[in-house]
Formats: sequence, structure tokens, C-alpha cells
Amino acid sequence: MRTHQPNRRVAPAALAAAALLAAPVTGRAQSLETCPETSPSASWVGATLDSDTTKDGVVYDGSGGGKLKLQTAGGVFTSTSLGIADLTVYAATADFDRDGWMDFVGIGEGNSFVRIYRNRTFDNPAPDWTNPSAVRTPKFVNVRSLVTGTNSQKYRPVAAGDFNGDGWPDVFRAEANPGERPTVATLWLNQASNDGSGNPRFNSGYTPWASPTTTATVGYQTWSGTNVAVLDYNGDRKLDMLIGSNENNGEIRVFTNQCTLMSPQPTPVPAAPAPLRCSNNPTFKHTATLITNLGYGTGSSGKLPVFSYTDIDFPADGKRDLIVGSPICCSSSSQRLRIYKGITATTVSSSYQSVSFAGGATGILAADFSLDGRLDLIVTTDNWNYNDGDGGKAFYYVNDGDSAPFSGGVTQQLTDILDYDVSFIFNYDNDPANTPDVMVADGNHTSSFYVLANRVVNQFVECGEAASGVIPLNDLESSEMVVTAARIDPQVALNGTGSVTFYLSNEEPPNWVQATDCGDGTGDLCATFPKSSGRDVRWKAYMCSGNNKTTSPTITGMTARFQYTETTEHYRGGTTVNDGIAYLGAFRQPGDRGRFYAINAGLSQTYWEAANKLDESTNDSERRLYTAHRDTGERLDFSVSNASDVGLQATLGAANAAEAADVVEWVRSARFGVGNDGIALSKLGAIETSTPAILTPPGLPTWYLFAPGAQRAKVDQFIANNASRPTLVLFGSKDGIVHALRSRATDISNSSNGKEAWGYIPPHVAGGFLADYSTSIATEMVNSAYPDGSVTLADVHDADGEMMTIALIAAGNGGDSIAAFDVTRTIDPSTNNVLGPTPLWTAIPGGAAAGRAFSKPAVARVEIDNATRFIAIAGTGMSFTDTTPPFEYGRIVEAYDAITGDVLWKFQTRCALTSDIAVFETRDELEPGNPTIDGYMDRAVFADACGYVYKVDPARDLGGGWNVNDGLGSIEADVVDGQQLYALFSTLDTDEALGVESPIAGTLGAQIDGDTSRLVLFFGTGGLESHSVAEQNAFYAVYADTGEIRAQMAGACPGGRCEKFYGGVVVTREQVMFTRTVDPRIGTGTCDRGTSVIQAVQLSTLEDGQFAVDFEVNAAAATMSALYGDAGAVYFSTLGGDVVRVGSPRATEAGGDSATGSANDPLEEGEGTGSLDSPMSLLGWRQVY
Amino acid sequence: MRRNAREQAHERGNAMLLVLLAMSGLAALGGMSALAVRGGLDAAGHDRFKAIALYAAESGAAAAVDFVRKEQAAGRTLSDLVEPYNYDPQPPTGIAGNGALPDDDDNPFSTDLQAWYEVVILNNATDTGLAAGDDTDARFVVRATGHGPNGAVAMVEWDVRANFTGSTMAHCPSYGQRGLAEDGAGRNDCLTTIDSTATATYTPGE
Repeated sequence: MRTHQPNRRVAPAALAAAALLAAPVTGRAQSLETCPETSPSASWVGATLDSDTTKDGVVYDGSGGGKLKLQTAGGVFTSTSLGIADLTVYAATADFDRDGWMDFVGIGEGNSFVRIYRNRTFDNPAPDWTNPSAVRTPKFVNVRSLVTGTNSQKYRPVAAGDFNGDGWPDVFRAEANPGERPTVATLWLNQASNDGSGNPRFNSGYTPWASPTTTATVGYQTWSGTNVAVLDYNGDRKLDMLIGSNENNGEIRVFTNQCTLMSPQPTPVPAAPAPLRCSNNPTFKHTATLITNLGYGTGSSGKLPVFSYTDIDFPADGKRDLIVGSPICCSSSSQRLRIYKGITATTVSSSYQSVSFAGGATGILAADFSLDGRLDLIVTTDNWNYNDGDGGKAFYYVNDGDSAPFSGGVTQQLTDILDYDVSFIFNYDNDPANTPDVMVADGNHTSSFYVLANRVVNQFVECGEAASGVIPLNDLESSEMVVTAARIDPQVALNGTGSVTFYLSNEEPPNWVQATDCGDGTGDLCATFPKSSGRDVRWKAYMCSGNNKTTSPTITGMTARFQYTETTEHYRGGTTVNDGIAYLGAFRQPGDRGRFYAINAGLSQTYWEAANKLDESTNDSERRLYTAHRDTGERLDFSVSNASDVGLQATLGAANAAEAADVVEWVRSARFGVGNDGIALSKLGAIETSTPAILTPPGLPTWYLFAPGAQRAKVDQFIANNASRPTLVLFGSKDGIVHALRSRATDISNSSNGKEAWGYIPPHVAGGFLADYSTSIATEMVNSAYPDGSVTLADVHDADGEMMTIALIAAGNGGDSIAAFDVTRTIDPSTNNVLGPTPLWTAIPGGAAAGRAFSKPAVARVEIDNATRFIAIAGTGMSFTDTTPPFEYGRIVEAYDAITGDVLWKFQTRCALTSDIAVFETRDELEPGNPTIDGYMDRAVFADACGYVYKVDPARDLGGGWNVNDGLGSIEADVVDGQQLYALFSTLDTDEALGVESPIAGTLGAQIDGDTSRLVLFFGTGGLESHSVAEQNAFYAVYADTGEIRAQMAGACPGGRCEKFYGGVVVTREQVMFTRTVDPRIGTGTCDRGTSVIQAVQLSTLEDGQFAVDFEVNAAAATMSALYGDAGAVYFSTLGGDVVRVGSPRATEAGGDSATGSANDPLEEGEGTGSLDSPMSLLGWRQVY
Repeated sequence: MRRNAREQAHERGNAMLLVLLAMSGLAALGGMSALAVRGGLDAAGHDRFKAIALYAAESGAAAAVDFVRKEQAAGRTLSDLVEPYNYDPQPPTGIAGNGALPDDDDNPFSTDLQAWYEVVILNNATDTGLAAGDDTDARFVVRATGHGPNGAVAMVEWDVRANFTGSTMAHCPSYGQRGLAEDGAGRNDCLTTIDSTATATYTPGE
């Protein structure tokens, strides 16, 4: 018993003897191989601070032993003549001769020439780089004519890029009569060698289209400007083209590269994302449209989408953003220059953010001109289409670093001449600071070609960052281990008011977690990784200048260690129990191999393991895998034989059937594991945080007795119709599939148990496969798109009352989307044939503002406009790129029609969402609106990373508008579109709470307290691995009506390391059970698995105003997973690899409940069965006298 | 007056018959399934008058269950039938024969038995709505006092669950999943009190 916490009241009479699970109950010896270990220290000092870091806004200064400091600021532009006289109106840059100096291809408008201008600026002397006004005289020489040129007035969009992946840039050009669709398109491939003078050479051009795309497909070319972008749009390691046209009211079409990649690739294979080598000449096909209906009209002169998309990311979240304007646009000034934020890697939001802009855009150039690590903007304007004569301006916008990066408007007007037709970015002078320079030109007029040389000034950039290389694994390289946490000891001088914030990551691409005080008095900084499935450990320093940018912090050294566990398996997901069987998933590292177990509820034997069954007793031809069309939602067979389906190709983003077949085959293949000789790879991917859900025959829904008679009859029929529905176990894994496994508890030895019945791939997940596949075949295995959430199952009905069972799953670590599908009848019970799920809808809660979809959606029956509706409420969570306040991502919670996916409302939290969504009924007198217990959910609650709990009325259809929650909380949390949103509770602001912000994660328990009959919410704080162990946490019971604290329990902080409440909460009619966890110590060299206590307190009884403790049970290792309660026992899994049970399960063996008639009875307590035929059950009787 | 052994044997037989009759009549009266019975048949050892009283009590209890079922079918809730902390509980007059003395036309027994009953309906003590007089778990207790000849009295209490009618359904998850149900509230009203002394661990991967 713990007695040193003043806020913890322990009822001695009720306190059960703590069972020390550290002593193995089953007699199992403690497995030493699961003990966390600490790596040797890696250090960065002197030159390694330069050689083993990437720097953005940060430079290495070798003086005084060497240090990292902030870059002096850029963004001082000095105009100088480009030095050519050709009438170039179209241009694109590339290092065609690979000499390290950026060249460009220039093309005329009134003349058809296509010329390669080689950069020979190196022939001119370098200036005094410390003089901000000095420039290096540009020198560009026409060294190659791809088209000699004749006079003809045409519009000729151009692009340069390494389209065939040989490392040498190529040239594409289309040609159209002004305002018309092109009639000529040519691709010149670089010969991949220079001539004797060092000048690049090109092959004869060819028309590069793949049927049915033609030259005309490029679309109306109605003016000139930057309307072509070259990038690997779909992540297949081949460069594609995006071309703006005046089709369909203005749109940007995607032309994907159809070349076949060489196999094997010639060595050395370039690192991602560099293009891979094609085996044939590239051709392009119009396979997607990035955006359409921009409001430009169709075929209208001057109304050409001019845009920037390649590498645009405001702020950096891995999802490209689009910034678009036009030489003529628009009736509304707010539409002249728009930012469309990326929703996925290949799509952008339908809503936009306006940038203040006066003019008609012909060039939109984005780069870090100011050298502060953020993309800035230069927009050039046309003379003729916006207030005739008002053009020829170049506006410079400096990114202010928030979610509206250019809300401050134009920072500086750089030039003002007659007209700008053409512009591009290039570092023409190779200055020491590598500042991006700009070429702007009135291409119709000689001598109007300018270089805006970008120079540094005598100030530091506001902020910048440096990131280390990966810590070498050395002897651990071939070891099966997982990195769980890391510790750093930085040598830092702030030098005034500057600041440095450190982050750590354990995977590629990085998932930065802020490092905080280790809590052991050393001053070291520690971070625990939420996704302990990587082992590429590195650190990052985010440095900000001080004293009005005149001082810079410095880093003179760094040591780092990481904590790893060599073990066979890891458990992060929760356990679910049904009919005497406990189910849980696991993962092995490295290799991302998955495991899925069915064990007896008595916890003494394993019935089956699914990964082996998938590998050894399931032929690929037996597998029934499905996905859904990304646009129509139509179900698609996910099979090689269906690769010719254009819908499947579109969903995958595949260029053609062959590429789609390759991707499908890869997804279905055995690809997980280390691949050591003699150890076969496996098909089941890692099960990271997905807790399984058990699809059984339906029972009575909780709202049954409140439903009208006709609806009850439909429920009755639904139950009868599905009484023989085979039980399936649903979970998501890193192979990209939501697996449905067969499980017959009453026939546990049946060989079909644990075999995959079917699998479903959410369409957004499928859309991420191509990039993963391309990287995986070229270099190393990558699986970034997969369903990692926990399946929500619910029985719902449509407007006609027709019942169905739906499943929802969020992507968790594997993305930002959620998907819903119908699982009512996926197997014919009479034949056992697989019918498969029916896709319903998919969404990204918050769209471009989504984080990683960690939160489990809730389903609620509500009444809206006197009609019964079923809604799904979902949010996402913290983004790997946005882990500290102020949060930009993961704050939107949205409600959807559970069957159609129509958006009903949205809400914005103050910080990133960290809890699951919970809904409940209430009749509390203090609850506004006089809700009653009527089978309709009255409130939804959720919480965020800053400790705010929000309560909203879910029963609203606002057409996707903000669900303003006046009266459902008094703490002002956020303002959206001028409307105040409130929180019910705050760890910072609520009386007698912590007084500081602290994350609230996992389940929010909700139950009626028997003492006051008020509904109470139960939750704890600190439940994120990234939350500092040095900070105090608490577990709360809070009245749901007022947000007032009913009782609280402080987490202990022994030795300065505080208990966290990870959000595993189970509430019964008598008890509240939750976990108190102390994270393992990080990088101490000691064997520390952390600790957890399973705590039970009485629901209705308080002692001296605080919780009355029922029992405490110690676990031998930390648990961060959910708690599960079933039939007399609670279950959880630990990081140490154990499943733990507290309590006596009603059925200890498979089928035990079925044998007693207790299975799947929602009302069953253990004494018998209830049924529709027995409206009353006698639970017991006694003769008093 | 002491009865002789023969009389006592005869009465014990009648008492057993009456008890069996009462039990078999439960389902018919209440539409109720008698489940795991916790009580015992201690009444078998009582004298005949006591047995009549017990018979009356059980009959009253069965009538109460039937009454509750009909009330709920008519739209009333269990909360309408119980009082805060069960103080001054309701003796519903709608229960057939409740409080009707042997000579009363509403008395369901033949006059020669001289039997009658009084029934009250209580909230179960574990209901979180006990304090407020609300039913939140669809469970209630019928307390029936039976009267027989010569002042014989017996009292029974039936713990009854209204399976699919009532005010607030017991919130017991159907499909197993994280958060215990689709509402995500971590709530399981059917999870009994956990015995913290029974624990186990298991490592599936070994």
C-alpha cells in the first residue's frame, strides 16, 4: 500500500492484498532477453557537428573548436542583368551538364527556338561575399539548340527533369497556338554525356504520350507563366508532370510517367526520393487532376493556372500544398492568390487560404529565400491583364511560420518594370550560403532579363534547425531489437535570449519527439518514442536567435544514447476477450513482422497464432482481399488479376496495369522479417497499436427498448437473420490490411481457426502503397501506409430502419484517414463462402489539418430533426511533425453520418486530440437542454494534448459547420471563424486541478455515480510517451455536467519520476479501474522495464472527498495499452511482453460461455441467459422469514 | 397444542406441494425465466400455516412481477415504482390482490386458506440510482409478505431483472473492442466486482 501521496485515500478494509505479478504466477522464468538495454554513447563534437548533420538555417562555424549556430539571414536581393539577348518567354532550370552550376533551357514565344543556356558564371570572379550589395556577374552561354527556331507565335510551356532516371536532366516542351490546346509535344532525353567542350547533348526528340493521352490532353494554353511542375507525384520514383490549363474552369492535370523501371537497378541505387532508372523511354499519361474548377472560365485568354506545387509544404507536414494564381484572376481579390493545403501526398483540400496580392500572377516561386528554414514566396506579375500597365512587379513574402504563412502580406516589392513573362529559381552563383536566387524577365523585350541575386545580411535568421545523422548501430546492426527511447546531453550556450529545443526520432522518415528533462537530476534530455518500431535514432536541434536577431545560440557538442530491447515480440495494442478467448497482436523488430494470438482467458495456453497460418496454410489464391475505389467507393478486388481495372489503378495511383499488378503482388507477398538465411519472410505485418475487435452474432443494442415497436421488430429480425454469423476477429496491421480472422470458440481445434477469412484495405491506405513499394524495391523496406487503429463495431440502421453492422478503423501510426465498411454478412454461414465487406466511406478528419489518426472513433445513435440518425465521431491526433504547442494539426473532430459519411459538424480543440471519442446519455439536472435517458446519445467528450476536455452536443446536423458548444463548458479554449469554443475541464484552469497543461489520453470513462446520480467522467493525465516523466500527473473524476472535480488521485513521483495515466479505464457499476505507469528509465544502463499498478477505486463511495481504494495490483513492467474488462476479469498487456489478467474469468477456456449459454449476451452477468422470450429474469430469491 | 406426527407429515407434504406450485407459476405470471436460484427451499420444513403464508408471499411476488411487466408495457418505468433509498416504498395497488384480505373480493385465494399478501417494490441496493430513487440498471427487488391462518407470516424477496424494458438499460458491451463498446466510454455494467487476488500472466511469444 502506498501512503506517501497526500491526495490518495486508501480504504484499508477494502484494499485487497496487492498481488505482485513480478513474481511469475504461471511459473514462467523472467526472460532476461526482454530487459531494456542502453547503447554506447555516440558523440558529435568539432567537425562531426558539420559532417554528420543536415542544416537548415543553421551553419557550422569551425572556430573555437567548432560549433553550430544560426545562419545569417538572407533575402537581400540585388538586381543584375542576366546577360542574354534572346527573347525567351519560357524557361526551366536544371544542371544539364552536371557540373554543379545550374543551367536553364529557354524557349521563345514569337520564335520556336529551344536553347540550352549553360551557366558559366564561374568564369567571372567571386565577389566579396561579406558585402551584401556585391554580386557575381552572371554568365549564361547558349551551347545547344534543340530547335533552331523560326518565327511563329505560339505558347510553349517547358519543363526540365530527369524523366528517365539516368541522372541527367531532360527537356519537355509543348507547343500551342495562343489560347488553344497544344498540337506538338516533344521530349528530348539527355545523352548522359557532355561533348568535348563540356556542353550537354540531347537525343532527338519524340512525342512522349501513352494512350489514350494525346498532346491535346495538355489542355488550353491561354497565356504564359509557371504552369508546369516536375515532381514524383505518386511516389513511384519516376518524375511526373503537372500542367496547368484553362480546361474546366481552370485545372491542373497530372501526367504520370509510364516508363518501366529497370530491374535490377544499376548500382549504386540512389537514395529516395531520387528517381530510379527507366528501362525504356518515358511516356506520360493523364491519370489524375490535382485541382479543377478554379473559377477561371474555360478557354479564356490570360486565365491560365500559374502555380507552385513541387516541394511546397506550409508548414512541413509531408503533404504538399498548392499555391496558385493566374495572369487574370479574379472578381474577388481573395481569389487572386490561393494556398490549397495538402490532404494527402497527392491531393489538396477543396478549401483555400487567401494571400493578399494585387496583380496577375505569371510566376509563383517558393524557396527559403530568407534562410530561416521556411519556404518564402516571390510572385511576379503580368502587365496586361490586371489594371493594364500595373505589372512587372516582383513581390516578396516572408513566411511567418504559422499555419497562415503569408498573412502578413508582402514583405518587400523587389522590382518594378513593364511586364514579367517568365521567372525561375536557381542558385546561379553558388555563393557560400547557397542562397536561392531568382531570374525574372520580360521575355518579349531584350535587356529585360534580370537576376535577383540573394545575399545575406548582418543578422541571424529568426530560427533554424540542425539534425544529426543516424546513430550507428554497430554490433546491434544484425540484432533483433527495438528502440524505445533515447537520451541526449547537449553542450549549449544560449548567448542572450536565444533558445534551443531538442527532439529525438527513432525512424525514417523522422517522427520527432521533443526531448524533456530526464527527471534524474543529470540535466540530460530524454524522449520516449510513441512508435517503437524504428531504430534509426537521431537528434534535432531547433535554434532561435535572440536579442532582436543579433545573437545566436550555439551547440558545441552532443552525446546521445538510446534504449533498446532485444526481444522477440512487443505489445502495444490491447487485449480483447470473448467467449473464453483472449486475442492480441504483437510485432517483432526489426523487420516489422506481425504476430496475432488467441490464448485462453485463463492465460495458460495459446490456441493459435495467425501469422504462421497465413504463411504456412493459406495459399495466395485463397486470400480474399478488397479495397474501395478512391472516388466512387466501389469495392474492388485487390488482386493481380484485377490490376487492369482502371479504378484499382486510380486508387493505387499506378501509372498502368503492370505497375498496379506489381504493387498488388508486393502487398500480398511475404515481405516482413529480417530476411536472414533460413528464416522465411512472413505476410502478416507488425500489429503496433491496433486492439482487436470481435465480430459475433449481434445482440440487442442498448437503445432497443427505447425504439419504436416497428424498429424493435427489425432488430429482432436482424438478430435472427445473423444468429449464425461466424465470429471474426478484426485488426489492422502494417501490411496495409484490416484482417478478418475466423475464430470458432466452440470448436477450438478446428483448423480454420486463425485463418484469414478476408482482408480490407482502406482506400487512403491503398493510395500510399505505390510510394512504399517503389522505395522498398529500390532500397529498403518501407511501410508508411497502413491501418493501425482499433476497429469500432456497431449495429446501426438506415433511414428505413434496415439494420447493419458497420466497422470503422482509423489509420493510427499509418496515416490520417478513417474508413467505414459494412460487415453485416461477410461470410455465408450456410456455405462458409466469403462474401466480403462492403465499403461505405472514407474521410480524413480535419482534411489538410489532420494529424495521425490515433483516436478511436465512436458511434452514437442520435435524434436530429425528429429523425433517428447514427453518426460516427472521429478525429486524428498528433502529427509526427507537430508535437509541441501551438499545434497546427490533429485538432479537428468531425461527425459523419455513420452510413453515408456525410459530414454533420466539426469542432476544433486547442491542442492536438489525444483521447478516444466517448459518447453518453445523461439526465443530469445541471446539463443544459434537459436531456433524458431515451436511447439517444446526448453528449460527446474528448480531450487534447494540453489537458482540455471538451463536451459537445452530437445530435446536430450543421452541414459540416462548427459545432459551437456554448453552455457546455466555461473555459475559453479556441475561436473559430469568430465563434468561441469552450472546454469543460482543463488541467490548467479548473479549480484544484494540476495548474499546468498535461495531456489526457486514451479512454474517457463515463458512468453514473451512485451517490449523486450524476454522470461522471474518469480520466488521467500525462498519458503520452513523449510527456516528461518529471511532471506531476493526476487521475480525475469530473462531473460531466459542470466540469467540477468530484475526486482526484495524484500520481506518485518517486525519485522525481512521475506516474502517468495512459488512459486505460474500465468502469463498472461498482468500480473504476485504471493504470498508473512509471515509464522505464532511459539510457541508464540498468535493466528497467518500468512499472504499472492496476488501480481500482469505488465508483460511488468517497472517503473524505477522495477516492476510496478497492485494490492495487502491481505489474512487472510498464503498460501503455488499453484495459479490457470481460466476465469477471480485466486484461492488459505490458511492454515486457506479458498479458496480465486480474480477476476470475467466468470462462477460462474457449467456448466456456457458449457452453453455459452466456456468450454474446449483453446483459449477462454470469447467472444465466436472457432472451427476447423472457422479459423478466429471476436473478435470485430468498425467504426472509 | 402439539400436533401429532402424522398430521405434521401430511402438512409438510402439502407445504412442499404449495412451494412447487408457487415456483411453477412464476413464469406464467411474470413471463419470467427462473435462472440460477440462490435461495433455498427452507420452507419445506415449516408447518402448514407457515407454508400457506409462504405460498401467499410467493404468489404476491409473482403478481408483482406481472404488474411490473404490464406497467412497462404501458410505458411506465421502473423509476416510477421505486423511492429514494427505498424509504417508504410503494405498495402498488395495481398488483393483483395486493393487501386484499381473505374476505375481500380482490383476494385471489380461496377463503378456506385464509391467505393474503402485501407487496412492495424496491430498488436493488447496487443501483447507482438508489439515492435518487431512479432505476438505472433495470433491476428491482420484490418484497412480498404472505399471511396464512393463525397469524402465520412469511416474507420473500425476489431479485428480478427486467430484461428489455425499464428506464436505463444496463450498459453491457456487445462486440468486444477497445473502449469496451462503440460509445468508447470504457463502461461495462455487467462486469462483476473484480477479485484482485486472482491474477495471472502469460507470454504468448514464448
